[in-house]
Parts: sequence; C-alpha cells; structure tokens
Amino acid sequence: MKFGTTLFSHTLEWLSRRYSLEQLLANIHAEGIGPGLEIIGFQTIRNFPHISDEFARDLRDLMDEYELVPTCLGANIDVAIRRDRFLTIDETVDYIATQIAAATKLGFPVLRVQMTAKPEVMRKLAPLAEKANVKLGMELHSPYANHHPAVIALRELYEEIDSPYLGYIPDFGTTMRAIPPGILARFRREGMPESLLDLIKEIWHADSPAPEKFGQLQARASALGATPQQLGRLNMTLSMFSKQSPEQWTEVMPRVVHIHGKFYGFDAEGDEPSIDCAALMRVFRDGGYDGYMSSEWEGHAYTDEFSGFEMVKQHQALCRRLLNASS
Amino acid sequence: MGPLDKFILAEDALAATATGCALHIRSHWYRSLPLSSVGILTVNIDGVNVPAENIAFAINGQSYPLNALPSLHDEWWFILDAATLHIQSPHNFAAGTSHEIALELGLLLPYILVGPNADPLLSSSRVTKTLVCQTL
Repeated sequence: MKFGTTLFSHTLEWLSRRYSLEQLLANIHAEGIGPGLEIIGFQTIRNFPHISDEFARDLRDLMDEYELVPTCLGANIDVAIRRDRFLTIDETVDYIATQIAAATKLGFPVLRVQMTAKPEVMRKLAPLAEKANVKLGMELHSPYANHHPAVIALRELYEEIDSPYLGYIPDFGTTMRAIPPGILARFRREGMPESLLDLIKEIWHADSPAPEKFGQLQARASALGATPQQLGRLNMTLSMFSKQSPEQWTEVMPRVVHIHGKFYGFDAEGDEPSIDCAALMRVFRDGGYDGYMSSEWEGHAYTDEFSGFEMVKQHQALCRRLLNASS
Repeated sequence: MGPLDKFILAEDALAATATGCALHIRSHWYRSLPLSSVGILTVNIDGVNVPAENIAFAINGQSYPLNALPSLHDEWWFILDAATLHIQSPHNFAAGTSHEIALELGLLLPYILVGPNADPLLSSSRVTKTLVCQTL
C-alpha cells in the first residue's frame, strides 16, 4: 500500500483562508505526508468542473515541485442539484463526463464517484472512462456497505461489464466499530435531547440494513419531536458512519482502485477508537492491494483542536506500523 | 454545527448601506454548492426577524431575491467566497454601532440523499454574534 493525503483532511486550514493552494501542498511535502495527493474538485477549484489551461498548468507544476503524485480527483454527483426534480440518467452522465475531462486535464488517474450515480449511469460512463483512461472509483461510503441493495445492484453491473475502468473506493467510515464520541458531545452541546442521542445510538448499533435504519430514524425521531435541523444531524450520523466488518472489504478487493483511509482521532495510546485500523491494514495487505490510500481526517466536522497536517502524519505512522506488524 | 460555523460571520461582516445594511456570509460546508442548495436563510437583527423579501443575496457580481435561489442550480457559491446579503432595515447602522446578528443557514446537500423519499440531507447552522458596523 502507498500513502498520501487528501485536501479534505486540510479543510479547516483551507477554509480559514490562511493557506493558499501552494502553501497547502508545500506543507504536505514538508510534513512528509504525501506522496499521494487527492483533491475534491468542488472544494479546491474555482469554476469546477471547468478547468482553465492556466490552473491545470499551475497545479501540475506545483505537484512536480513538491514531489506529489496525483492519485484521485473527487467528483460530486449532485443529482438533487435541481429543487424540482432529480437529474435524469443522461443529465447525470453529462454531469460526470465533464468531471472525467477535468481529471484528464489535471492528470488524475482515478475519479471518485458517488452512489448517487445509478448503475445505468455507470454503464453509460464505462466507455467514456476507458477512452479518457480515467478509472471511476465508486466510493463505498456510509451508508453504502457491501450488502446495501444499491451496492448489490452496482456489483452485478460491475461483474457484467467487467471493465478495469469501473472500480471501488472503500471508505473506512463504512467499517467502524463506534460512533466517534466527539460528534455526540457536539450534538449534546447544541441542545439535542438525550432521548434523540439514545435513539441514534440504538439504531446505529442495530444490525438492520441501512434503508431500514433511515426509515426507523425518521419515524421515531419525529415521534420524539425532533426538529428538521435535528433530524438532519441524525441522518448525517447514518450518512457518515456504518459498522460493516473490515473483513467484508475482501468481497470487492479485486476492483479496488483507491482507498479513503477515513479517521476521526486517536486515544492516549495512539489508536483510533472508532476505527479498527489494525484489522483494515491486515485485510488490504492480505488482499494484495498495492495502490494508494489517502489518509482522510474528518474530525474537523466537530472539532478544531487539531491540525490536519499533524493528524494525517499520526494516521500514516499508525497504519505503516500496523502494515508491517500484521502477519 | 461544527468548527466551520465560525467562518459564517466574520468580525467585519456587517456594513451600513443607504437602505439598511450589508452582511457578508460564508458557507459552513466544505465544498462549493449551487445557490439552489440554500434551503434555509433567516436573519434576525437585534431581536427582530428580517422579512425574507427584504433580503437580496449577492454573489459573483449578481444579486438575487431570496425566493429566486431554489431555481439557481447553475450559479455557484465558491467555498472561499463570501456572499453578501443586502438587507433593507430601519435599524441605525452608523459606523461603530454594535448589533446582535442571529443567522440560520441551512444547506440541502445535492449528493447526499437520506430517508424514505431520498431527500437531500439538510445541514443547518445557527450563529449569533455581536458585530460592529464597518464603514463602507
């Protein structure tokens, strides 16, 4: 496995506007947390997915200068961009085709796509991806565990088409052992009642399939008087964290084109309390995965105590040690 | 709901205008979103709610009434940019005066669908800050 970071880990630094893009990349180089570099188009690039020649040249030069390797460009599949209806299949294909072109122009070999791209969309994109020589990595992000009905449908399509340009990006947020304690503390601080906190913990720990969990949450949280804002927080919890076992990544291993090494924080011993990094490193090493993993720190969703650079450094050190130790 | 909320209203976000005030706001999400994603936008100044029709949303050199935002799925709010709310208000916004601003921004995330009807996820933030009115 090869290591790297994603600028998503450095969201706080970027949004503080105290770092230019060059300063972010220079820091990543200086901290030694490359060489892999992933960016999210809609976070980093003005006017994305339209890429000016000047921006493309500058980014390529910066990656050369700071010895970074473009690993993955994060696309967003905004099917609910219109308020009156969802994008159609063809509109979604076009929405993604522009982002494939952006990946080509910037030199990224993989484009992260999201489960809002239905199987019919992926079928139509396969020849475009092949022509562009950009692999489409479907992010298996919470709540889309292997046995989610939508993932099962996609896996069937992948088996049928069997193209090296249609792959997966496992996100470790799908294989967690606990909800990060910090986020529930944050909900409590902003006034969420204990009854709702107990409810989300109960539903999260249950073994029911994801669609059922969202349905249950909606019905039971509404009965407890949750406001739309609170329901949003609780839905977000299910959208961020799932508890599939790390071993289940084995089922999709041959088609993994990139990894999102999601993490939230460390305990006093330097371990990640909500994510079993030891099991994950063992699974991907034994599965023969030799591509990149972006260390993806998402603790900035609820705390600004830490620097993204420091957190990524610690995550890579932990995962390196575990990779070498696991046998 | 998180640390990004602190970017919504900067210390110098409030300025007087001929008909009220201008309020510069930033998004609390991590990526750029189209204006159609703005699902909730309410402003309260010194304890008084500003009627939606007295707020215009300006970005990229254009200004829109709040009720136009849902249809603007091709107009983008780049994540590093401030949008400016042009607010008609009878309050006294003389430079140096302090005002308590309470703002709610709710974003409908167009790529995260939840619940039985696959609705876009609502991410909302409420911030309350006392701001000193800047000179234009």
